[in-house]
Amino acid sequence: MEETDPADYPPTVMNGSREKSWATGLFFLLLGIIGLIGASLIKTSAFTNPLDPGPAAFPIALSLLLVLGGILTCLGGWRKQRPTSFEPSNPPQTSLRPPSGPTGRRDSIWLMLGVLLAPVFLYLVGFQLTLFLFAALLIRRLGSRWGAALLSALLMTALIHLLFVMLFKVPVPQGEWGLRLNFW
Amino acid sequence: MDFLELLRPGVLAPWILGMVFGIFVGAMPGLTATMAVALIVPFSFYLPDPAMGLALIIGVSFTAIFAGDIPATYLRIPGTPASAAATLDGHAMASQGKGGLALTIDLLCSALGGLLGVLLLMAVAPQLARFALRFSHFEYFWLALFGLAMSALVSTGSTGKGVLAAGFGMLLATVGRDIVSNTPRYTFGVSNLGDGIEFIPAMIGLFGLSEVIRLLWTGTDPGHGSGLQTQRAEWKEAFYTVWRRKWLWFRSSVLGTLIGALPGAGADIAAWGSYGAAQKLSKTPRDFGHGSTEGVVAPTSANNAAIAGAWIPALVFGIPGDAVTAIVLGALIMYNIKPGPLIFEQSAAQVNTIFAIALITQLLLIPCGYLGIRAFGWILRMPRSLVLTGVTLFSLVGAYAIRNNLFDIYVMAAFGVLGFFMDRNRIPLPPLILGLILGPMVEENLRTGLIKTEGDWLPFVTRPLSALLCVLLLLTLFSGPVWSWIKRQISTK
Repeated sequence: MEETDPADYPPTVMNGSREKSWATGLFFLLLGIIGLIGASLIKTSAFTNPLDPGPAAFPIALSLLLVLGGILTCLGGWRKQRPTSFEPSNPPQTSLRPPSGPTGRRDSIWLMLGVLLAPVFLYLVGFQLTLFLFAALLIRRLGSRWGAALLSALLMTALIHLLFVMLFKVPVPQGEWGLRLNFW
Repeated sequence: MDFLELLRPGVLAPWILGMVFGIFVGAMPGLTATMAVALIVPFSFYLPDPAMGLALIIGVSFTAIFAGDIPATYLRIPGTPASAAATLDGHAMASQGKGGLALTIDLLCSALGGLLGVLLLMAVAPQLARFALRFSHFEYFWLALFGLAMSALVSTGSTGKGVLAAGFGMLLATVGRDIVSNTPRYTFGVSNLGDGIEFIPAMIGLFGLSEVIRLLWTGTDPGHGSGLQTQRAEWKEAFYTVWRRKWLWFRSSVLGTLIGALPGAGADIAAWGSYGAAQKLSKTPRDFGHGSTEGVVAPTSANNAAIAGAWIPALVFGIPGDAVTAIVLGALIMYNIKPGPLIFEQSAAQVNTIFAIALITQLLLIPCGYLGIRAFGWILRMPRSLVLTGVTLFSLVGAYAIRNNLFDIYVMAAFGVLGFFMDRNRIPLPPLILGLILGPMVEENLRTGLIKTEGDWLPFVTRPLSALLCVLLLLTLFSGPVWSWIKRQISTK
């Protein structure tokens, strides 16, 4: 990628790049600190070979690398006068319309909440009901009508049940209060 | 399983269904080939024979890479990063009413490029394995670090971020019981972390769930609900074109295989490298970007050949060439196929099965790819809500099904958020994955080497192969900045 002239970029874009450096730097700095704290809790066994650097050596070295790298990245963000590259680090975004703003962010948060609650529901009400509820609520949240959401969720749940439970015989949670579908 | 048994209907059916799944995911802009492989791996473990599981995984990886070329041609939107180079001339041809021809050329070149890549893999890998038998702890230590450095260097984004991502991946790999002393590390009393972070749920989170979060956050519609009119395949003219460009196809496939063999490089870099080389060597370089058939042949041959190339270091050293192969490597280990130079002796039958599967996949790619070209308009009409919900559900169930453990869903969720954060801040993912896989190799060989040498570091730099790998590592990391500094000094004088 060619270097771009900073004059081509509006100040908001350059500020965004600087903010990303700060976020990245703080991210690695925090990870490094957590790594060092965790490494301090590692107990060396009395039977360890004295020539072995020990189980904590590698984690400490990596954590120090992350702390140092995090500090340098933060300093780079502080000194940054020009962006170096605007190439995406991962697959390019393929949007045909502008970012969705607050609605999209809310959808993402609802999705993560659903994923985090899913194991609880799997334990309580079992596999099929949890998947059906999750799918129906997510499809509805993403803009479909209730009728279409419920029907689609039912079909998806049935397909997954067919594949995982009946074909692959995966033992799935039945749930404390869930449906007993062993007769299928 | 021998060659003929692979052609039984009971084996072919899940294999082809997997390839159809790969077409669907690869053709959908916003979904990636890596996601397709990550999602299909849990299914593969429940098939009655490991060869069927391998066929499923290998089939998906090749078809998803080709399928990304379909929206690249019709919509100018690559379905996967490896298809970005095919966008330029493929879409130009579609604008001239030759979309069917472009995709037929693409399909033939993908199948033939993949075929040549697999043949090179079969020829090179066993020879390299004989050489690799001379490697000991010291060489493996530097080799693993070299692989990580390469992945940091060639990943998009800054090299510094790539190095930190690799370091973070290696740190994550230390979670669980220490391989030398069995001491628990970073478990914080959680018994589920005793065996470390489960690899497949982590991959599903990084490449499946994180993509869904990103698509929701940005409001991207993976399909477009448009009434797209696709064009028919044109076999006769496509065969004639590929025959006329046979040396270009050969050169691009070999280059793609070699680039794919570099750790962290991947099919996208192979495609761009081949496109650039083809343009430089072409008699009509100005035609590139305006509907040149050379501009379609070169990247499409290279990107599928790179998938096969990535298997070379994966099988011989256990060092994956790209993210897709990293996931497949994790699956191989779960099938008790241990990569390394002895794989050709200890698991010769399984390796031959892998080679046979890879060869047959290239042939099956043609009918599956043709179906994908015909069905593309239908794929695009699928509502966003259904696609994203389907991917999320399969991610949830897939993560759970590996160990029948609800904790793995939390692992997937955590890596999903992590992958989304890293994407937003342009921190590359491949070095993280390679760090997860190669971290134990680096640590174990370092500590075992030091025990053998009674704490002496000298053999790490004085053994000839170790010294060579050490120098290569330093050149990889520092030659770019040093060269830039030298050029600046020269230009200021």
